[in-house]
Amino acid sequence: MGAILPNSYVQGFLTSSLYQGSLKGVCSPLLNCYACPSALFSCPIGTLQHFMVTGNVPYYGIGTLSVIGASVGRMTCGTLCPFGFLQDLLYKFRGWKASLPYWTRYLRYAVLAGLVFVIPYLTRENWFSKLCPVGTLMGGLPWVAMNAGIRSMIRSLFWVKIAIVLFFVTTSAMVKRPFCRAICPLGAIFSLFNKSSFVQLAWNPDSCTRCGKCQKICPVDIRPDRNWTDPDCLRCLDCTRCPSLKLTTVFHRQPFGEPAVPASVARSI
Amino acid sequence: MPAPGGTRMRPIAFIVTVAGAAAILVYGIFREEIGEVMFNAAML
Repeated sequence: MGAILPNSYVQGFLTSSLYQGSLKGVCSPLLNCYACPSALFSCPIGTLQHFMVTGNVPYYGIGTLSVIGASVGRMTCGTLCPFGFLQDLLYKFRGWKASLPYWTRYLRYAVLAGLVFVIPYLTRENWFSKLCPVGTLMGGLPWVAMNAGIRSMIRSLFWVKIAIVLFFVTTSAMVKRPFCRAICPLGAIFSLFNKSSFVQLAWNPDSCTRCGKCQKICPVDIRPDRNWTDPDCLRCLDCTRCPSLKLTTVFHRQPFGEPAVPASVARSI
Repeated sequence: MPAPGGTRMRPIAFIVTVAGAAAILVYGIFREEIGEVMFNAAML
């Protein structure tokens, strides 16, 4: 659904043109390239970079992403992102599997600060968009396939972008969502809101057996029973198949009802 | 078992965050940044 709704301007493919209507003034809540012929909305990261390149503070982009993050945290990553969905599908291939080192989760903050804010401001070039694998898949490749003029303009940077896409496609078959966890700057922004967002995950220590099945089905390989406000959590709700975990709101103090042992008694035991 | 980070402050943190975010968004709209976003998308 995340791939279809923001990319429903089918006419773009038929007429080799981009949608220029008023919806292009709205930042989509997911990494969706606005150079895609069928894109209806603007890329939020591309928008942030554009303002940095022009030397302005992107109040509108930061405000939009902050409102979304404060409402649902990273839920759009887990439920709507087309590139995340592609990575989930690729991981279903049988074969050798690996886990991502813990420190790699901090790389996305470096990508956000460096490639989205600081380097575009200093070089006046939108460097994340130039290298973005989502942009290559949704914007670059369709245009190269459709337009002979663009094919004649291919330079070495295009092959670097293809190599980046191939790297993430290959690693996605072995590691759970490597791009979302280690690189995605939009996920980095939303993850800052996971602890205080309106939508929250709740864990019931009374019914949990610590079997670890929640980690096995988690698309980002975390243990929701150890930290249910983890910044990596995509709020995909896959783990809520377990009755010990459920979706709740930040205002709900006892989402599972009164605990079997009151907290005051539990502390004294 | 208490939640990590303290659940008592979370509703307050949420209200402060969403109010701040809405204020930044409204200021961006007031500065007519939507037009700039559309201009950027048209220049692709």
